[in-house]
Amino acid sequence: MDIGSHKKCVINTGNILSLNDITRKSGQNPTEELIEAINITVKEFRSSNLAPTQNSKLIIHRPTDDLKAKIEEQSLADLKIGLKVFLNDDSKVLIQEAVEEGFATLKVPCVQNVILQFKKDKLIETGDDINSLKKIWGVLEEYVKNEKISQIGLADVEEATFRNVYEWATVKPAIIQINLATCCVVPPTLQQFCKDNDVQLLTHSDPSEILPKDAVGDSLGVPLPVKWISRFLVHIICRGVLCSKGYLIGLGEY
Amino acid sequence: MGLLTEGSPLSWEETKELAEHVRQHGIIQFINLYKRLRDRQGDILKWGDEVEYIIVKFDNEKRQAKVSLRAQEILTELNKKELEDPTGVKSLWRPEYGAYMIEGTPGKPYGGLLAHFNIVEANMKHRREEATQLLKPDECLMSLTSFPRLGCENFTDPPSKPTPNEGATRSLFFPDDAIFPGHPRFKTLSRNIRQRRGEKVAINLPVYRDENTKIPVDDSHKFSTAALPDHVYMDAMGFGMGCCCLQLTFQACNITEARTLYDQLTPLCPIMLALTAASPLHRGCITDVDCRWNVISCSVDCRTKEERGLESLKNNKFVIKKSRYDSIDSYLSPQGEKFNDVPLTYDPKIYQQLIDNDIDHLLAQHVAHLFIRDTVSLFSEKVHQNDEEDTDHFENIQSTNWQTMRFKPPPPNSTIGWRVEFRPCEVQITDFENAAIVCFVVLLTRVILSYNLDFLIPISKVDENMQNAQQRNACKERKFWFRKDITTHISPPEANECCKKGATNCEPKDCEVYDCMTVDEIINGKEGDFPGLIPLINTYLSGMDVDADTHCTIQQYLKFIQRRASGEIFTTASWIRKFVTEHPEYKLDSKVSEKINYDLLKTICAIEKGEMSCPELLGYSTMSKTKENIPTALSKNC
Repeated sequence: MDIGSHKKCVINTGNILSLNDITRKSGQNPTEELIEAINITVKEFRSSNLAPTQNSKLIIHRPTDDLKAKIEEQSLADLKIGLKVFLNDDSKVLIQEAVEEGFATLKVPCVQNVILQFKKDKLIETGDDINSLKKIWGVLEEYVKNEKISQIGLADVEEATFRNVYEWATVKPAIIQINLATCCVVPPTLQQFCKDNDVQLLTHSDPSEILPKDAVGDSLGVPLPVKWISRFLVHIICRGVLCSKGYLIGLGEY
Repeated sequence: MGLLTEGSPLSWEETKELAEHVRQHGIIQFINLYKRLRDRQGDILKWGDEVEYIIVKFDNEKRQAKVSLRAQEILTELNKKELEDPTGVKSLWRPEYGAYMIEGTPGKPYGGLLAHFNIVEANMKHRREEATQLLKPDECLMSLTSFPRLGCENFTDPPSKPTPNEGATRSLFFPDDAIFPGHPRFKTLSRNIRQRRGEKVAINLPVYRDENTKIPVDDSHKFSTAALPDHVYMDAMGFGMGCCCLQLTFQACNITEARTLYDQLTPLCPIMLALTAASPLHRGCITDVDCRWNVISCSVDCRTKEERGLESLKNNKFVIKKSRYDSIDSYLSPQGEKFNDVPLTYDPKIYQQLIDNDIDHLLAQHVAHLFIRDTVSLFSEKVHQNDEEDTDHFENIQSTNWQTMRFKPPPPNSTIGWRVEFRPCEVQITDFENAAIVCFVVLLTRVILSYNLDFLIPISKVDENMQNAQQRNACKERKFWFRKDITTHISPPEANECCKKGATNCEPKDCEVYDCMTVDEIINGKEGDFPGLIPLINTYLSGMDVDADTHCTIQQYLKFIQRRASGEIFTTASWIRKFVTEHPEYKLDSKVSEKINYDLLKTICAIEKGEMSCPELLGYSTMSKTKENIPTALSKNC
């Protein structure tokens, strides 16, 4: 199939908890895991000879994916579904695409939480780009107001940025995600702020650039630019069980 | 177990008369409860730990340490709070076998959030402080698996004397006065086990042979034909049940999950036993084993000579391979069935009765196998029961099958679901270590469920591992059978064939579902071959919402376990060995003198209290972020 002829394309890794090759390599960092998941997905898709899609959007997925079955095993009320969206462009369309693709893939009308990791493409100036963050945040707020998302949060922002967004926002961030490497040395002021405002101070182990520039191109053999990346996590509440986990990668010109 | 109701124990003759009665009604009670509760669904994760302690009294002038027989006095105080406010207390206290022992559990179970892992250690600390407050200045509460000089002359305070010719135990070494006097259960068990067996129990541990070690170890063999001259001989239930363990119980979402986790944790039992090994010293000697397991197993071995296969069957029904305290004999889940390679002993009539009542083969043979045992403790108040509602007779047999794992049905009229108990671990010196171990095991259950992992190997191999795990320095030096590919439930077809036929006719290559691995390889992984349990846990955690403090704490715990497994730091057993053999007073004779014992226990107390650091045992980072409560932002999530 000529992937390059599609202007819009999404890679859906499906539930990677069922990919033995990935489980066997436990201890990989999220970048290695993501690249491996993309490679497996592209390979399985290519060898499946699926009929070309009718519409202009191509979804590269694994025919053996058990995501649907895993989610249907549980009642939706027992699931907690979260997305983490990795962006490096503040265009409203991209965050919308990423969130909508999440709903469509998981076949759910709403999710529990969405966490945003935003990093400017070129890290020329240090520090967070508050204006861009606020622009994207506005889109997420709309989803909360429409009851499509319950809680929204930010990853890898400085404490001052988080406080700034918190003060400014109509829908306050309910989650701040910090890197696991710093979880034992959280500044006391941030800890206190989170405690006072019932903000969940959570950890992640994602590098600041989760997917290197050329990784998707290398896998597809076509240099399609990455627009957004999103990770979905489906938990069974109160049982500490991870039900499904996977990635969506939005590709194409924008 | 709730507060023990007191009652009037029946004599052994009366108990023996009623053995069949208990068995019959126990089975009916199980059938009834199974019908009622088999379809129970949707229980959340709840879990709890149990830590056992000994009370040690120091004589700082004479440099001696004894077990303090004040458990009953202290328990009475500890239980007052619970009687006043049964649901509000932070800890629950129960008696244990020794008159110098107490057992503490959290007041309420921990729940299904990851943040609960961060309150375990704080609760353990709270328990230790609560009990310590009731101690005298020269006493210390110690989570120590075996008191090194248990059964030596004058090991108790106040002093007590063994009574070889009368009483419950009739030991040469262990006085009845060292058995918890506050409830008749413990002495009754000791007496009945001895009477059922037809003689005293016999425990022989190989002595650690040092340069000046004398063989025979002592003159026990002159007094008892059961004593092996080159072994440390012990002859009482107290030597085993007077040891402390670390156990944990968790609730499954339904019976199927309980059966899966019961099975999946079974191959982990010997690995965790080796990792937590903490008891190389018994009856004042250094032995050649690191663990308590076989000691307890022999200490409650109620089998007659016939049942042990030493005499032909005349009065008894079965030859029974193991003590009622031992590793489990069969898996319960369908995946486990093909690995049940040890023939199970049971009464076919009981098995058939269970089958006729719609209980499947695996569960029926499990229950029938438990019920080959006779009751060894019966109270007159409990003889006649309503089999529709009560489960005491079932529990009577179930709770005196002390195995590595226990499959626990919901209690009658409660909100509690199907549970699994994990029982192999030896207790560690500090709360940090104990918290690390229980959190590790419970995290592992979550990883097993999330990734559908499969650790199953033939049950006979688990038995081999159990024996291996207890050997001196097994954690560092021994290899264990462990499953190679844990990621799939579908074994290659040829491997299935092998298991069915028995492996003898196959090329070993086809049969090897399992391989030989060190504890290090199992825990930390083996490049290209085996992912390792800790990397699996870390990958799981990266997909969970973990708060920063909890993740920091879990990281400390996992790093500690990684170091123990890799041999970078000592197991408790290896550290104790080193302490004794390097003590200036040690005479290379395998003996733990009063003074060595005193110094060892003083040092352990100081390490536990944080007055002395011990990186060779604990590593350098033992400061977790444990706290009393779960942040409110998270507690809403569950």
